Amino acid sequence: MTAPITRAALLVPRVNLPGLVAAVGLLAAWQVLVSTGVITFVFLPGPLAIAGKLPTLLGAATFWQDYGHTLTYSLAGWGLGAAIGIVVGSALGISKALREWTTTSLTVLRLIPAIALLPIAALIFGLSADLELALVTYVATWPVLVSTAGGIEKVDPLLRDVARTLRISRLRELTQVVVPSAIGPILVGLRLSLSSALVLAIVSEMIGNPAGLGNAINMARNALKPELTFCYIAVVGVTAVALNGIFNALSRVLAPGGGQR
Amino acid sequence: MAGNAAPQLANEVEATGFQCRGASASYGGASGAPIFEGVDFDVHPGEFVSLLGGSGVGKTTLLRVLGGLHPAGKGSQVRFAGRPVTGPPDRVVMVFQNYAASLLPWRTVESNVRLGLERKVDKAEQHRRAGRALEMVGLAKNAHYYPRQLSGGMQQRVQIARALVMNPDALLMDEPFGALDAITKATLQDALLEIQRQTSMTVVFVTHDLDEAIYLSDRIIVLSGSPAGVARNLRVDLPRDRDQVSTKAEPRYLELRQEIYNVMHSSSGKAAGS
Repeated sequence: MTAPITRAALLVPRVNLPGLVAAVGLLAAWQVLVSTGVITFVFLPGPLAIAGKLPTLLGAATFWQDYGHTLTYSLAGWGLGAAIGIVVGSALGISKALREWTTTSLTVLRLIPAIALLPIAALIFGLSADLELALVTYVATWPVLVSTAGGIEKVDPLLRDVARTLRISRLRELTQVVVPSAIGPILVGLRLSLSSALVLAIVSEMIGNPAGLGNAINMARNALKPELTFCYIAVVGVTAVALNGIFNALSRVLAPGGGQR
Repeated sequence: MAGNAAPQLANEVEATGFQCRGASASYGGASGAPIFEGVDFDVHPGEFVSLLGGSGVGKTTLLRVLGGLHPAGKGSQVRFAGRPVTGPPDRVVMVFQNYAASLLPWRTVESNVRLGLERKVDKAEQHRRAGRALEMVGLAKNAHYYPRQLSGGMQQRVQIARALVMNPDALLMDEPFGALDAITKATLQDALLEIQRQTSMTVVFVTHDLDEAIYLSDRIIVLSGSPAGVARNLRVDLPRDRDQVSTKAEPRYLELRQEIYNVMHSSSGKAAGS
């Protein structure tokens, strides 16, 4: 017998109807406030005016280049950061000595806002795509590192006894027993760092590497095109939600039950 | 130094037995408080021996020393099949009390059972041996379930199958049935006796349950004191074919029960135990 829920079913997100109603209600209220003239601010268009701009934006080739750039760098930085975070986090989770020697330094580093490091990164990498990738990777590493280390540290020592009595190699103990046991916290870290990655990609495009959606938002603002600016912001928002949704669907398939006991 | 000690005894337990001479262990390394000291006993090949004692007396630690999961103290001689135990010996597998936490919840029953074989034998062999082990514990039909879909007794059967699949010479069991209800416990005790009859494995079984120890064992080693030592080492001279009802009604069973009870009772009084 297999689990009653198929993998395909796990991929389909469930619709949260009350949440959807609330979101649509807020948009409607915004529209009503703008069109009845309760809010008269030249740089705050209503949702309909913003939506009206959307087809033009989505039809432009430059938009898709910008979009591709931001998405590529967010995901590449996230992937790199995740790999570093899982490897270093695993090492920290396993070795008490390593934790004792490095926790203080790592905590200080981790708590420095990534954006404060941008000037230094700009000196090292110039105002380039490397700068963006470096910042995104940096910010994506921390949540994965911290949650992996914590998750692995809390793996029941009994499981390591199991691995030893079955005479499993240390490497297989790590990959087959220890890391999978910590999959719940690792997934949480990966999800947090995915949203941070997108945020830092956009921020570094706004003030570091002049490319992608962050740069496009700046340009639309400088051109005094509020509808267009809001269009970009909406696109970023929808992308963030979509990435989160895709990640959740994938983790439901890859780790049914989120590693729960 | 350990090599030339008691050569005759070493030969006697050469095949698949354990030998303990002056065994000790302590918490937190060699300098910590001793748990037990000067423990001497042998477990002969194919023998079923129970380590019996009150809670906290150090039975589990002694078992872990036999299984190479806890370091023996200075000067201890602990051997399996004639070789000093320095880490988990080949073909000696431990079964833990907490079955739920010792199974991997993301693996199916069959995949849990294959864990110790992976990368050691080829896939077909893994499946063949896992299938046979699951058959021995009566779970052939549950191979594709996940552990959480099974009852506690069935989960413990999975853990036993995971040990059996390694073709162990010796099975070390740490209160494996301690968390199960009386009926499940009796069923698993009989299943274990049947498996041992088929495989003639050596079994060292930790329990605090006097009746369980007598019912299952060829020999019982009672531990008591603090630091603990062997308070009594006695043969269970009951016929090997045991039965949950008739064995426990035999006069000899009741005598043994009385005798061991007295040993445990008097020593726990001395040790001011709970």
